[in-house]
Amino acid sequence: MRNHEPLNAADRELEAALAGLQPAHVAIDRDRLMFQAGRASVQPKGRGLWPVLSAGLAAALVLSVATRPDPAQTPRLAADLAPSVLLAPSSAAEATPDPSGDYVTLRREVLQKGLAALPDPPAAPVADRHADLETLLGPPPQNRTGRWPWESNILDKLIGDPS
Amino acid sequence: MKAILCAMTLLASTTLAIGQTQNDQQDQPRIVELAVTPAAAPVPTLKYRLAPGVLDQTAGNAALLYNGAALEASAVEGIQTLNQTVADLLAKPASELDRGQAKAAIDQLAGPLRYVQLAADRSECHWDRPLSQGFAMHLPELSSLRALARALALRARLAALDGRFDDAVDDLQTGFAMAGHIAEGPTVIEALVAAAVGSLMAEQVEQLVQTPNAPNLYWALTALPDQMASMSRPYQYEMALLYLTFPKLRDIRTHTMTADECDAIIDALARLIGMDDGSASDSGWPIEKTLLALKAYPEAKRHLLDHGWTIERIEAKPVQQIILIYYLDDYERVQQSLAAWSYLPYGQASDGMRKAVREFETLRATHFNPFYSLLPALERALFLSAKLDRQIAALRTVEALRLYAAEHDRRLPESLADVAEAPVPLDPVTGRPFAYRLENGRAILDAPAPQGIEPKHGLRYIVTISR
Repeated sequence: MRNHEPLNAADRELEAALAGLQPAHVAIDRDRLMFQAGRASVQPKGRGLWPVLSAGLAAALVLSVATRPDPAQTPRLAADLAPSVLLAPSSAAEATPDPSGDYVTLRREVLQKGLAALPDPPAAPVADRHADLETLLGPPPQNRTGRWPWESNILDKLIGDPS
Repeated sequence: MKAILCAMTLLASTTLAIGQTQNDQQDQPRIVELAVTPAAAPVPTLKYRLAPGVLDQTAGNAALLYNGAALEASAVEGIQTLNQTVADLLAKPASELDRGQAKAAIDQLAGPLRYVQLAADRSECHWDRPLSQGFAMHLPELSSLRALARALALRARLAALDGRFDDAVDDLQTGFAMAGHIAEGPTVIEALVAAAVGSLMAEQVEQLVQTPNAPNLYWALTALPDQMASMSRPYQYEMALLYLTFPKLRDIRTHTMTADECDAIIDALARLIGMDDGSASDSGWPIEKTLLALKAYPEAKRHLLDHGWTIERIEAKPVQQIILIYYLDDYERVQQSLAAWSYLPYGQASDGMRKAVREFETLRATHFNPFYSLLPALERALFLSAKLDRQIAALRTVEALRLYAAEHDRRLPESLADVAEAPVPLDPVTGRPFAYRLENGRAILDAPAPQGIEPKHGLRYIVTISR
């Protein structure tokens, strides 16, 4: 059964607004439209270059997007490399100041494979292991210059190696 | 010929059998049989401590001493072989441990372990990481600390096997303090290493409580800090990491950047996530970048128009900047909807977090955004952090069973609700009591891996009272 309750104030306002609507003036000139359609149908063939180019670009875009590997699933940034390799950036990488991706890769590896993905702890060079206080603070080594190696290094940088 | 065929068949079947065993191990929770003796709480109650007390602590920054330990360890002759030896020894069951070999290995690491002990007693730990390096930041001493934690665990195990409880507890205290200190670092990786170090120590507690006349460690375990390897702080850092790496992105919505500035960020980002390998031979990236821009720009414009930008404001900025803003808006929305769950205890977060992760995975399958690759695997990270809490709670439950047995003629309770000697903790992963049953005089405590996590991360304790 339909509801015949009287209209409330909001409904009456809406009714009045709807009643006040007038049909809009039709802005389409039928004769002009037909003329333009006829003109368009006989456009010179040379004008087709842009649509062809656009279609080509669109096809290339679709092809690229379709064939682009899924970034979520593709091993990236040498993800298969040992983290120790990733933690030792090459000299070329050091020369280019940019985030090397170590952290992101290492985090992903650690989350996926566990802490086995962490690189092996480093071992100090053999020479450093024997550098005790006596070696460091004792008399200068009896080398040909009679200087400490660090002295020689600094002097070499300042005045160049005389030899 | 027959011999070759037989050998190949044997090899194949052996390979299959090994593969099957590995699969079985992957599909099974970690099962630990614990033969324990009843034990009442020690007197005084906190006689044994697994976390340093205030009076045990010295003012100072532990990080400096941990760095010293790592440096000292690197100078030990044959350190890499030695670390492997320690790891192999620790992987063996206690009954098969070659104590002589273990002691010899530990003795070689006495120097760096002394540094670790000094560090563990420090009241503070500031790692002072170079956060401004963002994604390029390295964590150089973590591997060494993890190796030293294994040495510490082996030393604690040796002490437990020799019946030197005080020494074992001292080493475990050092190990748990070390885990807490590593967790002070800002990154998810540090929280994961902290969880692993804590877990390693908890495994030695499993050994310790089985030695005859072992003291009851219920209160010592209870006094350990809650959520030792919490992920909430690391996740705050993760949220900032992108802006620390590319500071110009902080003002990208309010300032107009040059196209070159935007390009530099996009190229660095591409290298970061592996779309561009950075080599001169990779000629595909510039084309791919152009095509991506062609696709993304209309979406970016529509997005910004929907969010109140005028067309004039949009067109006043380089195309690349508009695309970056679009990707960033989307990334931040997704990132925050995920990261918010890290603030809750796992038991409360798990259902909502899992739903948020699934929604993100669905979105990621249909919508490309390069920043998505920077998001850490939330579900896994939060679980691995909660797994340590669960292991400690399960051990507290075992110790509560020992308290019960001490008061009830060496019997185990029918249900955990029967234990009145001490509160039995809830399972931090579910927020509910552990699944418990008594079967043929054995108490079985089950803590299965939650949905979406491999079964091997589950835990089952089978407890018997030894005569």
